[in-house]
Amino acid sequence: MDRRHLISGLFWLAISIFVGIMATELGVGTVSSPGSGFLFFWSSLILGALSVILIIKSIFGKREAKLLIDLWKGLKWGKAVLAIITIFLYALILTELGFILATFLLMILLFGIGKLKYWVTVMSAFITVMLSYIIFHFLLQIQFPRGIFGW
Amino acid sequence: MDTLNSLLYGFSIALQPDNLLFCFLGTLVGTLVGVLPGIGPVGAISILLPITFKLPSTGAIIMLAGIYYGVQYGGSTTSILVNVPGEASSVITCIDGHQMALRGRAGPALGIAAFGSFIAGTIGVIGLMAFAAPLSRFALAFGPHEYFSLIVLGLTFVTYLSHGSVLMAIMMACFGLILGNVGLDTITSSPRLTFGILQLFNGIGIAPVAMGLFGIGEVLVNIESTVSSEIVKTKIKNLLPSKLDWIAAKWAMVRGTVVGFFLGILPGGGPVLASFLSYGVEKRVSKEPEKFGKGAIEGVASPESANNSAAASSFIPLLTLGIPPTPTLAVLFGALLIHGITPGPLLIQKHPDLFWGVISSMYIGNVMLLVLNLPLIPMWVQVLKIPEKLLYPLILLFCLIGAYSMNNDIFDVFVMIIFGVVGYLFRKFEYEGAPLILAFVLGPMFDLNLRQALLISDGSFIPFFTRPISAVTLILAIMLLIISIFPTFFRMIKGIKTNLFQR
Repeated sequence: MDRRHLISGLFWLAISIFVGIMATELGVGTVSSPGSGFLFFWSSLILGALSVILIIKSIFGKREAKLLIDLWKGLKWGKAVLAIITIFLYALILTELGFILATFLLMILLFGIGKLKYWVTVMSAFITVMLSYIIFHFLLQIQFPRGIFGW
Repeated sequence: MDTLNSLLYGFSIALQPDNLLFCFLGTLVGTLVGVLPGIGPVGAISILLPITFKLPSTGAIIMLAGIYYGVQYGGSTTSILVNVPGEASSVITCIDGHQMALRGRAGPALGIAAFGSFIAGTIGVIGLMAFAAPLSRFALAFGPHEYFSLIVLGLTFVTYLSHGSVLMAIMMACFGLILGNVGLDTITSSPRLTFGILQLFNGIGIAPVAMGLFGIGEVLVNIESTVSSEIVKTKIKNLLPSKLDWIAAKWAMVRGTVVGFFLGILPGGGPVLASFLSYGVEKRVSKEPEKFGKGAIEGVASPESANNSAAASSFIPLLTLGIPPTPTLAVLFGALLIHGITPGPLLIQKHPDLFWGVISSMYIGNVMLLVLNLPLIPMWVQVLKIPEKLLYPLILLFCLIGAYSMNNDIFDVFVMIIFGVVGYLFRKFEYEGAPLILAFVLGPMFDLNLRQALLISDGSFIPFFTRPISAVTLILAIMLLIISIFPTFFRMIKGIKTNLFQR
């Protein structure tokens, strides 16, 4: 059994059912007068049908059984997870702390994931923030949030 | 004569100092992106897209186009020196290019790649110029049935050519169609799948989706990788190919150019497919096929010519029909729409400055790329040595700034992060982003043209098969689907039967 495709197949089946329900609420219409939900309905139907085929294939197919954990075996997946959490937190605090401070903290954490020396991390973060502020704010006129400190 | 006058007009625009600068920046960034493994042209154009909002439309498209064809040049450098393709269309160059480098012939390999790219790219632009205007006039006769059928063909091609499972590629195309139509209905103006979120009324932005899927997703995969690459430690000399190299490579360049040009026009074709096919053709016609894989210069000249020729010709369907043939050009299509320009048959009439300005800039850009990729090779070798621990955080920051700057709205950043996680998981679960992004971009056109066609024909599907262009493209699409699905279907049934009997 291919657990990877089984799980993804179930996920897409759920999505297709959800979109199909939404489509009927929008109004599928008729072939001669298609409604707002026409494309959503038929796309979700095809997606759902293919998901079922994928699920069947994953259960009965010839493919070698793999555990989900094999997808991350031998990889430094913790770094990827840390990176996702870091950028998510950045998005949460950006408007509160302002661009300069939030970006400085972001770069400290991201460079830290690479396990650079402490002084290299801090210097690189500082230079990155300054350069990006000059290039994007002054040269390209992008307006960044100032945050509670007004930076 | 008319074309010549138009081209001269185009040069008058492309040679303006600001447009020259944008062209240079685009080709420079394109080469950089091509040299650096980890971020491809889709990711690069997506990341830089928000920055181009501040630029005039013509300059923005010149720059983004420069990135697109510039990438084809830069990709060969890392393929030859590191045996890691800078981007997908340089994968095949690794085979013979790196072998040449190991035999102390890195210089001629890099040289023939650059010259082949230049010659093929220039011929590709000439072809673009020659075909685009007549095709635009022809496309004025297209109606909803024809556009719908062309989009179906494009999506079918992309799924047919997917590296992984065709079944999963079709699923991604369906999902892309759904995502692309989130927002206000163009016909009834009713909100669709917006869940009351105001920012979704205009649909999900192409830039956050593309940056997430191809930028963030790619970086996350690279961050967790434990593989590191090593540059060939050889002195790079004799970048100018010798007379013997030219004799060996000349017909390979010609064949690569022709193959690339026609494959670039096809929806779903593009530089990647062109490079693979041209290598296959070259090996087949060669009198010494056994030398391929061991440092044959034809094995470098042909794919590098093909990918550059395809990069130029792929602008034909984008600019004249308004149908992007590749995922990268789908993002460029989004850029044109954001700048208020609708690609299609009327583009040449309504925006001749943009159309001819971009074509002329491509001539200039090819010259710039030849200069950037030959004498500046040592600089690119140094770039390859930038530690990934510094590079990937910078790319992530670029993405975050880019997503925020689109609408000064943190919502776009969250969308990008979500699609970044999706892109990362796609790679784990073997799904491809290419069918999704193409369907996403073409989704609104697909929906509009389908509904218009059905309204016109009162629900009948017959006109799709009685109108000649629509009929040919739909039948081609159906044939492709059958060719791709049936072998998979029979294998699946066989597998199920075998498994059931074993139990």
